[in-house]
Amino acid sequence: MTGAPSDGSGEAAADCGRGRRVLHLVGEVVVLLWTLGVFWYYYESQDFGELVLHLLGRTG
Amino acid sequence: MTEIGFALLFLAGAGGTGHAISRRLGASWANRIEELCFSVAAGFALLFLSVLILGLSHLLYAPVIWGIVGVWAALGCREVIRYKGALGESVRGLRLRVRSIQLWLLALLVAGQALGFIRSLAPPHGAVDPLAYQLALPSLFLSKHYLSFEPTVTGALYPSNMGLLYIVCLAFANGSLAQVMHWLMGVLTCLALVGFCGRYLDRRSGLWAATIFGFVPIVVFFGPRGYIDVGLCFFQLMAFWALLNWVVTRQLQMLVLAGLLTGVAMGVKHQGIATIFLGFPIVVIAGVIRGRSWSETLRNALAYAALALLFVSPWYIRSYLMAANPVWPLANEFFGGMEFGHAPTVLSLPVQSAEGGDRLWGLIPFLDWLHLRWPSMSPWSWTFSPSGWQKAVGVYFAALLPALLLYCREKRVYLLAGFCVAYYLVVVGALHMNPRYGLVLIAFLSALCGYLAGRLYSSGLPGLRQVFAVGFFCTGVLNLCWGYFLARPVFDVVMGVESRESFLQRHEGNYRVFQYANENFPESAVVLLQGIVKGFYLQHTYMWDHRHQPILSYEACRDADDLLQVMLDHDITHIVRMVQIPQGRLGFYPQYFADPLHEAFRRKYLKLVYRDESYVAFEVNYPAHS
Repeated sequence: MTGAPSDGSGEAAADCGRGRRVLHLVGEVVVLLWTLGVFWYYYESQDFGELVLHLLGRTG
Repeated sequence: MTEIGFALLFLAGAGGTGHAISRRLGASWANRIEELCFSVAAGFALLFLSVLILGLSHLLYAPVIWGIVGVWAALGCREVIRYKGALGESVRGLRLRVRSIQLWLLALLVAGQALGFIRSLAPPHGAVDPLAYQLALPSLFLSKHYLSFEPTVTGALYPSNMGLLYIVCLAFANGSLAQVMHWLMGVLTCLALVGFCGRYLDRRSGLWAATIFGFVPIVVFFGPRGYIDVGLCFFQLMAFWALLNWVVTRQLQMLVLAGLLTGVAMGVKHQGIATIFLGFPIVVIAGVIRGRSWSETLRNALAYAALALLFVSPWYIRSYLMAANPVWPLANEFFGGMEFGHAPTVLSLPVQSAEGGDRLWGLIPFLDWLHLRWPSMSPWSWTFSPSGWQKAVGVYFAALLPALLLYCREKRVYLLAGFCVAYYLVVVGALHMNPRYGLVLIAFLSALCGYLAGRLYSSGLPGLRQVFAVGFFCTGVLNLCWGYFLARPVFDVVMGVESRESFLQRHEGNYRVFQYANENFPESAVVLLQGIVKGFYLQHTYMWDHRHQPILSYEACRDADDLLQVMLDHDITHIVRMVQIPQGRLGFYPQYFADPLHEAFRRKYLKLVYRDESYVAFEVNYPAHS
């Protein structure tokens, strides 16, 4: 039971802001993982590995 | 390499004359890139109009075209010299700093476009649509000196503003120049995305958007060829951009520009009609939301539509005069136009499938249709299992669009996303579920994804932006590998190590038979092309036998003599035929050598004069009394 009521609401607001920021950062991590995963799956499924090896074989 | 010089000349002509037009209109711009893009679009519109007038006046002679285009280019260059400082500002507008991600994005974009440019310099080869009609029709128009009606060639009466540009290219140089100009439309679209994002989204997102668009497989694959779809995309993008400028600024000049550019887009291809179908409601909704009176709203909407229709109307009038249908052969049953072989469908309406009849989803026709057609319209299958390059949208949309859930906090982003959804419905419902026909959707999605990529890159979590940048850069490098793979076969011919003749003999299946025909058939020969025989390289009068043409019909033929009469009716002297029609194309052509009627006719009346592994040429032996 410390602090004035106004301090309490300020703390709650700060908590809420912190919570949102954390949620947003988690969201960004999820989006990044999704993006990288789709990148990987796409180039894997479209046989880009073979294409690169083919090109390296030709030029190397 | 003269193509490079001519392309630069045309660019200067378009930019300069368009700048003079926009200056006279009194339009004001948010940035130099925007000014440059609108100038180029307006300048090309002026060129289209000039060549259209020549074509309708039977004046398509090379010297006349040189004269008109020369004056246009000279006026443009004069304006460019007056405003050359502004061009420098456009480049500085990108605000590139060494070690910034923007510089890396630019490097990827330039490298990708350079590979496309190399491909565009090769002689036109391989692709069916350009060699069968998108380049073939301009070549026929040029040889006949007017916009003739070639009823057996696909798209004979379609509007064709890009075709007018290709006539100029063929008059000045060759088909490679036409390909360079189509590739240039892709570059201009990338530039326009930088300007558009700079004005409406976020200055940093422009280069992300341009790089994403530049690496979309449809653009990479079709851009450096003599198609017209990337050109349509550029003019549609400019039309919508002008409309948005009008909505935001209420500058009347922008509504005028939007109307004119909508007309230009509609005149590139019938698929451009989608511009006015979305543009008109946008003008009305903008008026209603801003509390304007109904009379003012209606006046603006009608003015916009009237300007658009004014610019496209010469094409519709031509089509009406030739075939009694302004959009022949579309909606032919409505207009009662000239008979057409196999009428194309326009709308993909929900219908009950045979499969759905005994399944749960079959109870609701829409769900049944959705279940049946989902693989054709699903962005997921456009990404991972597209049926052909024209549906291959690439990886960036599936990878980045989910980030909307995180970053869609602003009205402008909601509006852009909403517009993309509306245009996607247009693509699904009216554009054969084919993203190549609605590339402007891909351009706006690129803008959206560019914005999302920019936001992800400016993320607050340490290390996250670097991981994302490295991932994105890897995709760029892989795309460049693919671009290199596509460009490698043309290196020799582009660098002059191999002659164009020898290259075409190896890479264009039709070329050898047409070489023979050009050298050996008499001047007066009329050639019938049977199968996938693309007429671009044939220098004789020709007709193309396929199920969409209304001229040659075999249905009434009972025997070889009836078929001979059909040939006689059209003065056909020679036939060039594909030996083996591929299985997937048998709906469009008969398997001539297995068809009893055509075989009986061949034995009785055709004399083989040329053959290679893929094509044969016959001379029709008419009996002396016929």
